[in-house]
Amino acid sequence: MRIEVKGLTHIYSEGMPFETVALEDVSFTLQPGSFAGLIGHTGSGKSTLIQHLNGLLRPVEGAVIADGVDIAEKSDAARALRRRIGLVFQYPEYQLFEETVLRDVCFGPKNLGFSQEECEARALHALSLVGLDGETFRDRSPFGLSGGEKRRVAIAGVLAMEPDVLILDEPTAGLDPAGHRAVLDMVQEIKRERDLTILLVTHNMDDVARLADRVLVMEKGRLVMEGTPGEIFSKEQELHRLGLSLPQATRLMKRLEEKGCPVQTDVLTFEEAEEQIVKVFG
Amino acid sequence: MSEAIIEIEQVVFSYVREEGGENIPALDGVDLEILEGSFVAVIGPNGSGKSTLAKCFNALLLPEKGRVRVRGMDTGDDERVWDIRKTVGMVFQNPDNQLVSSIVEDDVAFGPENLGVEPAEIRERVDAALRSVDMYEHRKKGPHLLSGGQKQRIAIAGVLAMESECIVLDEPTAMLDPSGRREVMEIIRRLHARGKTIVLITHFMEEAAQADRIVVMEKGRIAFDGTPGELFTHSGDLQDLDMPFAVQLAARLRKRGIDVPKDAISEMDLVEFLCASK
Amino acid sequence: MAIKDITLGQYFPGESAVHRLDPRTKILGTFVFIISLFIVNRFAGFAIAAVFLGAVIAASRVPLKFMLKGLRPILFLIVFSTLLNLFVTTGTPIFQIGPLSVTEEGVYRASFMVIRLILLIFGSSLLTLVTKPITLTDGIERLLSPMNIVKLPSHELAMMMTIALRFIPTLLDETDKIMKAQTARGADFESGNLFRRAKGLIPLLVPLFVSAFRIAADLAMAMEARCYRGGKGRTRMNGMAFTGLDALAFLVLAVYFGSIVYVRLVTA
Repeated sequence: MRIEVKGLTHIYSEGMPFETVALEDVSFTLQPGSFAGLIGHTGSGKSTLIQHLNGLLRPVEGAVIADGVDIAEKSDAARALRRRIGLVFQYPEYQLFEETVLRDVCFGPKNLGFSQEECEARALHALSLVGLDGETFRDRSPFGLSGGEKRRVAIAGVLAMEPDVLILDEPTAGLDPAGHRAVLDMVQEIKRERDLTILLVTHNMDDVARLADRVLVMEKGRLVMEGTPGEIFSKEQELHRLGLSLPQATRLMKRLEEKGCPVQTDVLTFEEAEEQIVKVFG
Repeated sequence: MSEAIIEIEQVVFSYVREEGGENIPALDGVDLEILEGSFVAVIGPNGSGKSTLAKCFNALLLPEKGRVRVRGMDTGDDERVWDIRKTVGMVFQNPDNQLVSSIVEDDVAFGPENLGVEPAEIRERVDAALRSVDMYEHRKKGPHLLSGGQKQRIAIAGVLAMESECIVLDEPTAMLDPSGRREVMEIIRRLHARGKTIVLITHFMEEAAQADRIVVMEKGRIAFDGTPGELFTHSGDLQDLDMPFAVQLAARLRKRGIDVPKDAISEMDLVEFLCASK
Repeated sequence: MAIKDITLGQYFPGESAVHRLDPRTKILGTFVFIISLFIVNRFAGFAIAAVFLGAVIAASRVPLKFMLKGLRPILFLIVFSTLLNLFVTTGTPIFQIGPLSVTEEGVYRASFMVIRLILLIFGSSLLTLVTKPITLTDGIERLLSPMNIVKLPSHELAMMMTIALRFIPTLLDETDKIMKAQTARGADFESGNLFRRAKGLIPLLVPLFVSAFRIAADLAMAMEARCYRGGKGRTRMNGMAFTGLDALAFLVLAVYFGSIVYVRLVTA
């Protein structure tokens, strides 16, 4: 699915004394099958933006267009499209409520109108996608699981709706390094298997450098930078002004360059840094 | 010779499991000493027992076996629990769920009020504590208007107002964004410089690297106890530990024939070595 | 995001004499005022009450439109009560609307009730307009503390109120987040009959309760870590002391109440 955002503007509490412009004239396109990273300081409007992308919020001005249809329309076509855009919030495990894991994961498909058998089939498939064995987990209470398991169940709940687009808001928040890696590996795996379009909201520049093919940078409700990771992370000063850092590999290269060493700084990952250094210093 | 503030001897602790299965001990025979004025980081993956250990320090949890002593007081002694908690203060992971009052300065006053301190002195302590964490201007605000990093600073002020000698921070930055993490780590370093004993429970290696001493927990036991430098040059098989970027890169470069010295453990060290060699 | 910014209990910030009164004075004053409204048995009494209330509102410098806002929620009640009294009271009819008749006595009673209701609402909402919620709970705690003798846990009650006030914005936030997450999974909180909508609230209420319990467990642990052990031996940073201003307020109240009682007794 291709998502075009055109001139999106959102204002909270319009007309009241504490009116806030959360988004101002935001425009960009998510190509089908792409992996985009959305970065920006807390309060820059990322949460508000993603809530527009699946229709939870309606814009004051502008539109979100999925496959040619404005998703804010009150038509069946628009509603069908909205349902194919999945959104995983931060700390998604806080939304679990059912008596068993299977029933919770079935909640989404049920709301879409599928039969009990279809729901269960989708739910079991979604559980396997997140690395949880359906038979072991299906009848367990979601509240008795570990933190990491709960999070996977919550993500499965969104995957069971079989979205074409998956938006994840800091899916690794609160996880230890091992959990962090596991979730991102899982996201990549799922993207591959279902050929999804992914939008990842994160504070972690290393993840963006490693996984994304496109980066969107927000500040105070505006989209201030857009490009490939290579393009974005070459602008250290601009990022610094926005309160954002560089991927560790890039930062190391910049420090070496500052000290006069003839290194290339368009390095994004650990492996690239290794190769550059060996080339120059080996 | 520094005295020990906290002494942990052969402590065993298990949580009672509801959904059947045997009790796997969260702490399985831990010996540890925290010396006054030191900055100790306790690191390990989820489930390694580090949070459980933290709660043993101030008698929130009592060991099944073994003993925990704070300035000589046994945590199992009912009469001394309040003195122990006054000596060892704690800051928790969730910035929201540890703040009691809807006004910042009232929340910081909560601890001294519980201790029965005279009102005029409470006021002095609260003001001083808020200034120590750079939050004095926000003293009349409601906590729900503050960022995560600011809330954690209020929580730290709350412990400072109790004049605790030792501050234990249980994953204080886990729920914060990068700038919040930086704010909190800066306050921690500042407090350590002023003589407070700091125990930082964390899973971020960049934070643990700032301590004088790192204790690595694995499955309820201590797998390593030494300086950051010693840890990063450790050739053992510590599971799932994220070595800092520079340390990992240095190791790879050594394998590729570039002789990075073993004591280069930070980005700066690496940059300096490489540039000097050119 | 916007919900958090709304100040609770519609407190209107200010430094007027009324704002600066000890909360206990304001609470007791409100009580006295409410009781006085039920002692009044003729319009003259209401006139005195209205003048008194008008003076206090003026002194507090709270704009009238805020006071009027307090009437909005009970507008329905006012209208209903008026109509009820107008048509149900028996007596000398003034005019007829079909089978229903409006009597003289009805008009008298309806206006009597409405005026009392309006004065009641204005009086009590003024209390929350000039006193911060946290100060109110402190005031209630102090007033109730003598009741400790009869085992009324005034400190515990006050602590419960303080914590409730503290976490209302947090819980509102949680509610918002949970609703959004479930809506993103296709939940519908809006359509359907009463029964269906009630059932549809389960995906909202269960996680909310779980969150509330989790918050409570975390908070209890944090409170214990900060040496909380109930009200015994606890001191307070913010003292509460009556000043000359409070003495003046009590004097004014006494005069007011005296005149209300006088007007009542003087009824022929």
